[in-house]
Amino acid sequence: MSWLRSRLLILTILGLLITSIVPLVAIGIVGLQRYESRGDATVEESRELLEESALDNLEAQAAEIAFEMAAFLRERDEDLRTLAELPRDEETYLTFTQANQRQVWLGIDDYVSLPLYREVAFIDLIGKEVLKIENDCIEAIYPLDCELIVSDNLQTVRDLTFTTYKNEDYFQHAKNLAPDEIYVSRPTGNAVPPNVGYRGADGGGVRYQGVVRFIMQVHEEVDGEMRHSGYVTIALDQTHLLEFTAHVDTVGRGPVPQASTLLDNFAYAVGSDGATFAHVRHSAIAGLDGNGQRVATLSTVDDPNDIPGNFYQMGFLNPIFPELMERSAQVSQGIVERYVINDKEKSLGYAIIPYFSGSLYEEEPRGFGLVIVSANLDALSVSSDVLAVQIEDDLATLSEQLGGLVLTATLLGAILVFAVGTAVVVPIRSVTRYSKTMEERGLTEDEITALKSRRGNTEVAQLARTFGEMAENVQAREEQIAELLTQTDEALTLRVKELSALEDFGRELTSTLDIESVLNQATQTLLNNTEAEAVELVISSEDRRSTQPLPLKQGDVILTEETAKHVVKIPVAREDQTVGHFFLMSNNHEFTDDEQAFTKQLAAWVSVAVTNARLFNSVESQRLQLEETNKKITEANQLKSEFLANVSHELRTPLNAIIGFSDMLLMGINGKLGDKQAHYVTRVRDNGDRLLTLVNDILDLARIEAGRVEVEESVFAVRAVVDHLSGQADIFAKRRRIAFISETDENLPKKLIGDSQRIIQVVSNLLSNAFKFTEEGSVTLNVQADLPNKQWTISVVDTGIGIPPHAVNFIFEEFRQVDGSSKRAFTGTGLGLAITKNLVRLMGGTIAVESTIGEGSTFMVTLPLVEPEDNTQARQKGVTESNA
Amino acid sequence: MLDWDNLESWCVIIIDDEPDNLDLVVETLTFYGVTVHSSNDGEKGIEMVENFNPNLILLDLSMPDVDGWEVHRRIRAMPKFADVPIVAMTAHAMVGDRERVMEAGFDGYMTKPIRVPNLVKDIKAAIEEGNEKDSET
Repeated sequence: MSWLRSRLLILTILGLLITSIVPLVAIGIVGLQRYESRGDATVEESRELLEESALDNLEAQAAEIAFEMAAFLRERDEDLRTLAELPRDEETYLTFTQANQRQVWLGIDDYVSLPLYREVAFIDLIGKEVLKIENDCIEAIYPLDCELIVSDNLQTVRDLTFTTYKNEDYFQHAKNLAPDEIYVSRPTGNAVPPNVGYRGADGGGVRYQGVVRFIMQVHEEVDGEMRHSGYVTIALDQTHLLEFTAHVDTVGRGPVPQASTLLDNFAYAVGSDGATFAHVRHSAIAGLDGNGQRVATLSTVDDPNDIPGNFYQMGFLNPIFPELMERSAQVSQGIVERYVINDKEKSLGYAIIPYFSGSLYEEEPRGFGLVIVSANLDALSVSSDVLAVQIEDDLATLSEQLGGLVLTATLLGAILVFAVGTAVVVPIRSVTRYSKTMEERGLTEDEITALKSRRGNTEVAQLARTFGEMAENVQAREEQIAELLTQTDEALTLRVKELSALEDFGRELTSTLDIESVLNQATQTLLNNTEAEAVELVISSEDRRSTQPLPLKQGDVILTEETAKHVVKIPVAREDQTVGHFFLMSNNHEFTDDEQAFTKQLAAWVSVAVTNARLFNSVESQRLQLEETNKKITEANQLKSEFLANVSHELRTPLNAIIGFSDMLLMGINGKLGDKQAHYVTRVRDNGDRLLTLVNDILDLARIEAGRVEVEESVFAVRAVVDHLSGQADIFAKRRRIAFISETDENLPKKLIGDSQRIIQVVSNLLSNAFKFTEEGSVTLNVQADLPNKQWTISVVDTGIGIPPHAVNFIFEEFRQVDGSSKRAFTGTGLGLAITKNLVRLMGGTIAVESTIGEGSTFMVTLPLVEPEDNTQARQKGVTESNA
Repeated sequence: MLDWDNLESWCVIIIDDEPDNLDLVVETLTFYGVTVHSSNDGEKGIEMVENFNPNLILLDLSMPDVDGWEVHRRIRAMPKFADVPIVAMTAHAMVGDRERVMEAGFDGYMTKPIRVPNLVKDIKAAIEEGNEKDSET
């Protein structure tokens, strides 16, 4: 027995050893197989990884440069706003320009501080530079010995040809800006000789250099009112933009080749017009002549043959540029893609420069342009091949070593299994096998019977019998549970599917206001969630959508309400108001209650969405219309103001000569005129005066319309106003030989608050009309107080020709006289009453007219009655005293 | 300084590219005994100011090449003429034009058409109004 016991012990130890060694061996074999079969794949994968990481880096680098450039440009916005607030004197401007400097790279470890701005200027309202700081770097010889000076070369930049780069139109843009808006030009430049100016990595110097112009309006407070007083502009030296691409440093970026001309890899920036304004190789930046050809590199600022201003567009980029712009405008990070450029396959990493300022970029989010970093993939591929060979070598070595190890382990394992297998392991493993089988697929009845009827009293046999019974029970219970689960699962899946479809649809609906997509989604959802073969959704005759199963077989009848065997019609309704119908159609399926309930639920969603979409469409179209109208009105007003200013100027100049020379003749400076001559010259002068009145009236009206007229509120004596008007009227009355009567209400306070000059202007216009249209009888000026209603009325009554009833309504409109015919019996511009009415309204009053043909007219101006404080006190005091 | 009671002590320079206005002003002022020199060109006008030492300058604003604004600026930059009154005589008569002119530092603002019979009176009124504006600020 002791021998048997010790043998069992040894076998058990050996068994343990086996169970630990076999898996090890198995892993070894599997590992070896995998390495051998995947050797080639791994090499390929490494190559792809290498390339992918290169492309990622191209993309990241383009985006990084673009973001830095945008941030840099935004800082310039801030500089301009600061400048607008600064006092306008030479010292302040010079200090401002000197303070803004930045390091630029001249070569390895060689930096120089360069002013940011080529020009800093204040421009007056008519486009003349008033104060300008200039940077003479344009002509500076390497290494950029620049000097900032107060310029005495002030130009009228309104004229494009007088701008520094001969065709800069920033002033034209600036006129139309909003008060705090900034206009930013595209880079504009000049060709310069090779040894002048900034010299970057290229070594040969920049062949072309320029500026980016920033301009904004200056509004200042004058007499408590904000007024547009001029413009500030700064011209950013383009050299500073070159900095971003000139020495792109890729150290530490992994497998991206350094952007360099030697490796055929480049970094450059292109404006939104496709013109290159920064390039690692500076000679790639060039200008255009009048014919769109590259400008000869030796032309200079003052070269008369050079028509500078626009940068050159690199030819190879032209066909793909619109596509690049379009795509990069839609993402915030960079994009990388392959293109064949100059017969080489290249990868371009590109990103939009996310800087948006001024009206130039309003229309679409194009930013300042693109930053592009390109890499030559052929070169990259060569370096990948070298790496691939290395990986292959490593794999082969590994594979050999692993093979030896596996062989040894296998031999050892085989010997041990053979020794132990026959004794203990075999019977126990048979039970183990059964338990494993049960776990995997359950045991058959025969197998269970075999287990239960195992004979003998050994522990192993008892174990087998117990195991058989247990297996029988477990399997019966498992079957019950499985059946129950299947039932529940099916029901649940269906509900979840319906619910999630409805929920998805609801979410979609809340995020769309487009009726088209509502219809598409609704029909598609129904098709996916019911057995319908075709679905039709009819909202109105224009908005309908139907879906048919695809593809249609040849000769299939198209399913419609008329042809389908089973049709369900469900109203799309909201608060009893039906907006349309769903039709579910099928030839093979009768629709269930569930399907109809689902459709009704969907219909409720759709009705809400359709109503929303309709509402939105109508509001949206109204908004667009309003916007358009507003824009037109603003433009029209601007044009009108400019037009009026021109007309006024151009009319005054000849009128100056007509009236002036007539007056000179009448004064007798050049000898006394005969009676008849004097008479005619007087008529020339008077007609000149009439024209001048017309010009002034039109300007008055325009001023009132533009809201530029203000009424004063100061104390005035009523008596003085009435006397002034009566004095005027007496002269008219004598000339026309009719009577003039003036009546003033005694209750009217002696002093009032208001604008006496405007009141005189209004009433004297009414008086002048009254005399003009009255041949006989009288003109009466009546001033009446209405103390309870706190107002007073000035009436002008005449016994003239009167106004026909139909005309009463429009006499206060511009350019209307009652007799619109060509008789021209009465002089006047027809603007007087329109101006009068507007002035009265400005003073818070009203004007009215009563008239009878042949008997006369009465014009009544009613104004608010406001008394000065001491006046009221004085009167109250008087009342108290009389009571006492 | 201008002696309003002794017009014969005046020396006026008028600069305007419109020959009509030059003739009007020259003839009228000459009639009153004033010494008048005229130029239809800004650049020449400035030379004339340096040569003739005027005690009043009448200046049109819109002129080709060197305009009235620039003529004004350049004369003012010469210390010798810092106190000589310069009056703008212009057909720009829109809202804001007067303010722009006075802000630029002119001593007075007159609009065309000028009133020949009142010319001297109007010049005086323009300068006095300009002085009031100055003392207000």
